Amino acid sequence: MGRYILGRLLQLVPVLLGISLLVFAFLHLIPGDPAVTMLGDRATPDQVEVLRERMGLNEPLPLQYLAFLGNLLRFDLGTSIFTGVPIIEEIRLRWPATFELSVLSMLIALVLGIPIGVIAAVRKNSIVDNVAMSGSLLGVSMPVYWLGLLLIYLFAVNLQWLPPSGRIGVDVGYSFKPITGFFVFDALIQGDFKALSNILSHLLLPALTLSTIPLAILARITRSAMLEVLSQDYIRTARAKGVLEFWVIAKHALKNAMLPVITIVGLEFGTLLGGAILTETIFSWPGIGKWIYEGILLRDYPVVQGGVIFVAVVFVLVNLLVDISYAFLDPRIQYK
Amino acid sequence: MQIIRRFRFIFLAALTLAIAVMVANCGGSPETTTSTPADEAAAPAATGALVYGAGGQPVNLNPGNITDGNSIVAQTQIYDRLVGTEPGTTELAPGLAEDWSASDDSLTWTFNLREGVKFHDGTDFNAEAVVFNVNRWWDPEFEYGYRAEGNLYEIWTDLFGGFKGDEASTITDVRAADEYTVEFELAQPFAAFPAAIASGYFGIASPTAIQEAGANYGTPSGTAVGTGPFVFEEWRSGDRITFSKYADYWDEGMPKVEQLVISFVEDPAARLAQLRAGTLDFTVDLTPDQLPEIESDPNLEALYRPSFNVGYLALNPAYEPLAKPEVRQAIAQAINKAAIVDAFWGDLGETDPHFTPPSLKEFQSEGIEDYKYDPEAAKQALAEAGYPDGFPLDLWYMPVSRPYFPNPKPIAEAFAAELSQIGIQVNLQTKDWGAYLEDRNTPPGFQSFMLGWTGDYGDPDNFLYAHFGPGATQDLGDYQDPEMFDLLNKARVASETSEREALYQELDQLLHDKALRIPIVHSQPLLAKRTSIEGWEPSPLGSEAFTTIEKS
Repeated sequence: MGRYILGRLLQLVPVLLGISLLVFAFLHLIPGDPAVTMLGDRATPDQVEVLRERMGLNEPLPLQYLAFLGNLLRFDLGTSIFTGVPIIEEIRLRWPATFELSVLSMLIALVLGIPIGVIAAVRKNSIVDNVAMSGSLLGVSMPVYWLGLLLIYLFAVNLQWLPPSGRIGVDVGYSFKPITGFFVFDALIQGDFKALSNILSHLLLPALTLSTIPLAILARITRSAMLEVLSQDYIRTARAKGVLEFWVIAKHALKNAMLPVITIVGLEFGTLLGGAILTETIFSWPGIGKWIYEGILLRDYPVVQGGVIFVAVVFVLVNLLVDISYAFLDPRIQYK
Repeated sequence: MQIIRRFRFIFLAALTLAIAVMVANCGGSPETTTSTPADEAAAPAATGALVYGAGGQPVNLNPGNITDGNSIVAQTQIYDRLVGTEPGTTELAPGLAEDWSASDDSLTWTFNLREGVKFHDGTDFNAEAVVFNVNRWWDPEFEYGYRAEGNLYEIWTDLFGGFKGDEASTITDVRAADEYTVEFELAQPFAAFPAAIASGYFGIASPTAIQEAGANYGTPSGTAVGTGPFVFEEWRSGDRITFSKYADYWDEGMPKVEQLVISFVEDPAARLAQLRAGTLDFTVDLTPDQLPEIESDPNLEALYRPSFNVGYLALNPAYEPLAKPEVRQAIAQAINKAAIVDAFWGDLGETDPHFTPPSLKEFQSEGIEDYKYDPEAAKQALAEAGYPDGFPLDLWYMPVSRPYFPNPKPIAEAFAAELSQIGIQVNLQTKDWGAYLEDRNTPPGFQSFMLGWTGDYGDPDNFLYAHFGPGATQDLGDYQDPEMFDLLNKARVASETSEREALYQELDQLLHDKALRIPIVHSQPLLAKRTSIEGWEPSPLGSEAFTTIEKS
């Protein structure tokens, strides 16, 4: 097992190298001088030259890449050209917001998605199944941007039940002092329940919006995995033995159907943890996604570069964890 | 059996919930409590604090080291400038300097400072503080400029020619003549100097605070200390900046609210939704298509910021057919500006024959009548100029949206349709924004292109010299016109306002006749506020201190 994990970690090296090369290439090979693009319609040639020098754009491309890679190895993603804040520092500030949002979205997706999938499989071709599956098709295909605005208009503008956006209200925000940046955690350890309910109410709409796609995918995957397992011989055997139908589904079928589901959970969770650009932007959620969007708006190359690398690395790491978890779920899988 | 059968789905649901929590815990989450938000978490009406919805977070709070509007808005709350502007206009008004004057040779500017003003950190505002701030922007060797750490102060060279030691630098010295008098020495007369130093970039910061914070000054984790109406409290990156009222503000009775929050909301649709939900009190830079929604909500009110920009169509005389002024004039005549502006901007844009925006009216020639839309006459003029069958023309449109051209492509298509009527075969072109800006200046440049400008300060010099002055005509094939340059230079150095007005009026007429950059539109940014907010007077310059705003 230890050797397997080590091997997998080593496999990360070429993957990360590929990511860094792609990110570097995207930003440097698109037409137009990054320095001109960043400074905009009023830059003088002198200013462009100063910025080119600062960004190291005057070096030959391969040298620039090597320098970039060298910094990367030292976890130095550079600093934002505009704000001067180190990229690593900005990620540290923004990631807790994304993390909280991802966890709640994933929870919603799991709590609703798996039961829906199981029910749909057990009641195959029933009305329940058809409704669940067409609903999930809708969930996958609904544009997040549109759904987010819809929820805001319904729950924040018309009904006024929930706040439209942000992580914490203005008034509560004055008294609440974050410690770790994980607001839910901070409010809990400070016993500040007024802040906690305010924070959770802010979390709900973006989390719901963000959960639709993973929820729908989970429901569909669970259904098809369950269908496959339910047709297996050992299920028939279990039924023949007189095992209660509940236990057949819950113990014999569901556990064995979990493997593909876990894979999807990993993929989806990895995506969520990298920040959701549209959802975070719509809900003014100060996480990684909104940060990357800000970087794109300002054409802040180091921010976009650092952001994309971070997202990619998180994705790869979460999926590594998923692969390792297979061993625990399915004893037939042996790692050598 | 029957009972179990009946409840099996509830059991199943409970089981999967348990699995879900376990899986989530494997993810290492510290807060996977069952998060069912409480009912009492209703939309928090922002009581007390005034909440402004900005289109993004500031780049920094370090004066002089910014070029973007979001930074200027935030800095305007914290810092005063030497010279301010009258609310809602570009007219200069006393700021930290009570009055100012130029010497007879127009080379020395003297600013008499307000006495008894203190920075938010309790230190004294005086001439030394001003000199300290100017040196940060102007002197590359200045110890507290932190240029090695990445501060560029590029806007300084935009407005004042260059840094200390550069030949092109407008100023040659800055000194404290006494505790409350600052003097600037200029290399050549520059009549717009007070207007330029009044621009939103150049707030005066506390030298003590800068020295203590070092390169960290003005970043989210640093401080920002000025003499302005609001004291900087906290900057949560990506989220908000909070301010409190500065009790000892020199303008007595101001500001009118105790607390101010600038909330960063990049998406215009999200900004409007928040305004309607009441979590924002006022916001800016909405899109024209949002106007009906604002008007439909009884709690909201739409406002227009007076225009201070120009969107233009440039015709490059380096392209042979466009070398003749008659051809350029014919093009101006063939484009129905009024109809295009009405179609794409509605109430949010106006068209006139001037390159400078309406708020600089006193510098415009009243006698100019705009080219009358007349395709027949234009075709005739084209034939007389030797192009009876027209000619092919590359027309470049911007790949990005700007306030002066919110959707460049359909606007360019409208131009193309108009020009085809007089026989000009328009070939629409665009490329990546960076390349667009760069290549238009690379000889021979674009044959014709769309671009625009938003002014920095309330003087025509900022519009005209930047587009028609020596060195500013690269994108017009390095067009040289001694008469035009001469007028610009004279207006730049003339000390009497009446003389400058006359010169700029003459220039206005000349530019109209030359039709090099045809002004298409002066657009007004769309703003909105809740009706509970009163006293907001938007400045044409793009930002204003929120001192007079009251919230009920």
